Amino acid sequence: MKKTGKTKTRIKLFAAIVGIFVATAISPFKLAAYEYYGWWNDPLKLKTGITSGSYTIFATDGLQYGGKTFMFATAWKSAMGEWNDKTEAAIPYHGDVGGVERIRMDGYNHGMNGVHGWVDMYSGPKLVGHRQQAPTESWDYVVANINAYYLTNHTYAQYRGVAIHEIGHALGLAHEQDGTPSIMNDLLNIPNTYLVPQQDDINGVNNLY
Amino acid sequence: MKKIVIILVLIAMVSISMTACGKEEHTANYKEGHSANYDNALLATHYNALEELAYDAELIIEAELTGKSKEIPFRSTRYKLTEVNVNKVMKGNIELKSNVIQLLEIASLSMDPHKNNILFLDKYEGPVANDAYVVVGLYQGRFKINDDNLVVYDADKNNGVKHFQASVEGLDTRTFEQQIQEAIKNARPPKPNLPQLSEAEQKLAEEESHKIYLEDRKRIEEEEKQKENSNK
Repeated sequence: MKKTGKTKTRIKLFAAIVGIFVATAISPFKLAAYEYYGWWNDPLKLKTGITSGSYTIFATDGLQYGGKTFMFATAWKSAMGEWNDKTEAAIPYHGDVGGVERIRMDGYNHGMNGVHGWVDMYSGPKLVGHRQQAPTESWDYVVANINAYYLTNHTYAQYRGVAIHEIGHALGLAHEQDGTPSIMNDLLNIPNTYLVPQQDDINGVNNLY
Repeated sequence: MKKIVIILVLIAMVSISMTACGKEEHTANYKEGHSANYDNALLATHYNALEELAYDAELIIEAELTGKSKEIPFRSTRYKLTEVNVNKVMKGNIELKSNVIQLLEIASLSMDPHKNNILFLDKYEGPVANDAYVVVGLYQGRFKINDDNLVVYDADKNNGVKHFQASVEGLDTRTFEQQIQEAIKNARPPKPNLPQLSEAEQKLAEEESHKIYLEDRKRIEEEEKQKENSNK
């Protein structure tokens, strides 16, 4: 009887261990593919949070370049709307509420600079992530840029996707490269991937703040 | 029973900490104080072969940074002009040898000051600067030459891409130059950065996109109207 009891206990223990490993393997830690800047337990982000401050749009609708008319102002406003609607972010347009500008959005022809879009992050007057200043701190101001030079063959939805991607960076999401559905995927160029925030992106922003 | 529970708790703690640690590797670079963060940029083109870089480069040179640079503000951002001395021309205008040229970069994404390099360059077209060159692929066309005269490509340490560059790392400059000459002979364009659609598919994509634009405009106008009404 004693032996049978011990055997049963060992079987239960073994099953419990396997169960823990399986549960851990499919736990949110593994499933989350979103990437942050900084250490996993101290990620870098918009210091002032995602429910204060405001955003401005330096771009306009109607930019003519390469035989195309770009509606960058509408694209940016809609892009911010996507993040505000789908995540816990609530950063309003500066023109409506005033307040401190935290994100500036610009779109223009920058010529052949190699990128569809990029962000410059600042902590006070200091450019975070500048060559001589590695991104070891969070930021309180971001300038997000999109470059018309490389977007002449893109539809409105596609360059709006670039805008959404850049705002993702402004909010603290780094590039996603493991194939999980994500607008932060940069291994494919933006028109070949998702054009609106995906669930993993939404989880990434909500989890960060 | 108590022993079993303690063992199970310890195993659970080890498992969870192992999965959490799995994320450290990707983000650890930042804490070590690396330079430009290429993760902030959405590349226009991904180069998957030396032949593709060679195709898009108007000029391929061995060059030395002189240490001189200046920043140019442009709209909401800043650019940087970096001076390089051309030591050797492998493709392009050979009269540039022993001359100084300017490299234009986005300031926040500009290269670190490693002196000796092999650079794949294109003549800059755009409103920011006249008579400047850009590194093909933002940083993808920059190969450092170390003190042992070996090729180094380390953009991936700053979260840049590394598609084929590992295959040329560690080569001595002579071998690399030979490979570059071969790549020039066999140059081919990089893969297009847009899905290859038929005319009908492209038309449909444009129509769908235009619908999205109209929906966005409608929503924005409704929000503006609501705002106006609440201000009255």
